[in-house]
Amino acid sequence: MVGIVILTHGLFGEELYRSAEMIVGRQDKVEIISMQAGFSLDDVAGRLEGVINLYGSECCLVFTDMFGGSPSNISMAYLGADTVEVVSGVNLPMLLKAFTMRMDGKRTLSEIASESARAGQESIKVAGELLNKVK
Amino acid sequence: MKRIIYRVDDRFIHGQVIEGWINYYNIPNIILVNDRIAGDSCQRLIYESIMPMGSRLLVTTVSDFEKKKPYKKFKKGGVLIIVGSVRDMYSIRDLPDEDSYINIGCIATGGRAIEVTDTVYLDCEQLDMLKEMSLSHDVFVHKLPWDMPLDIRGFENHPAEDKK
Repeated sequence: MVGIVILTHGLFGEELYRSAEMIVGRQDKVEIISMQAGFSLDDVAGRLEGVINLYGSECCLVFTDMFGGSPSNISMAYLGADTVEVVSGVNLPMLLKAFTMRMDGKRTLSEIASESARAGQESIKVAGELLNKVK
Repeated sequence: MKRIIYRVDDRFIHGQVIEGWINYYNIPNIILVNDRIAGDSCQRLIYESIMPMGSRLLVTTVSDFEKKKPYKKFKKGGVLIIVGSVRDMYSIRDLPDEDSYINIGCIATGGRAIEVTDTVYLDCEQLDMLKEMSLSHDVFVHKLPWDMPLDIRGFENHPAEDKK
């Protein structure tokens, strides 16, 4: 099963995972790295590398909060490995899609990453605009 | 705002820099001065890929920056020059002119460093270098444009020595 890392500014990742747990229950192979103020890039990169090494030859999908932010920049440095993919802009629907898709062992890392990203994007709606279309 | 901003930030280009400085002031010219990143094509690609629309990035080593003074070719618009450490800023301290400003953004905790703000930790050597630079340039701890800048000259006492 594809491992998942949630790497974010502050405690956003921890709370996001807890919220996901409320919907899909406890998950295996999930690591959360919270980048706090005062942490260096090397501190966080070291922790991420430790998790990637822990997964070994198994695939690992890293979710980060913001493209261009430090968690994303750090993660992108590991894209050279075929076993790692990074998706930025993590939100709850995106995470739920990844958790449910990876249960099917036949889905590839690339498929899970793409479908998760799509689920995250499609979940963003301005509700008023939807209602105006219906009127 | 001064036309040329020097920023000391050990996270280089990240959310605070993009949202807080580049986008807020529409700075079109960014120069990242760092030996390690200049010599690593993967890292350079990462930082190039995160540049906002309308901003261009030049990555250079400290010595090339000193020799070539690449900011001089940017005649129009602001220039944000990012260095990863106080030591690197100290190396190029003779370059900033009257139209520049030195901004201490993020320096992670480590060793005997003490907390100046939630993102800036300085040890005695770093504080001494910054104070020396402040004799000829404006040097402020200034995380975001809308934060109150802290003049480095305001740190009268050596914080590490205070703790002894």
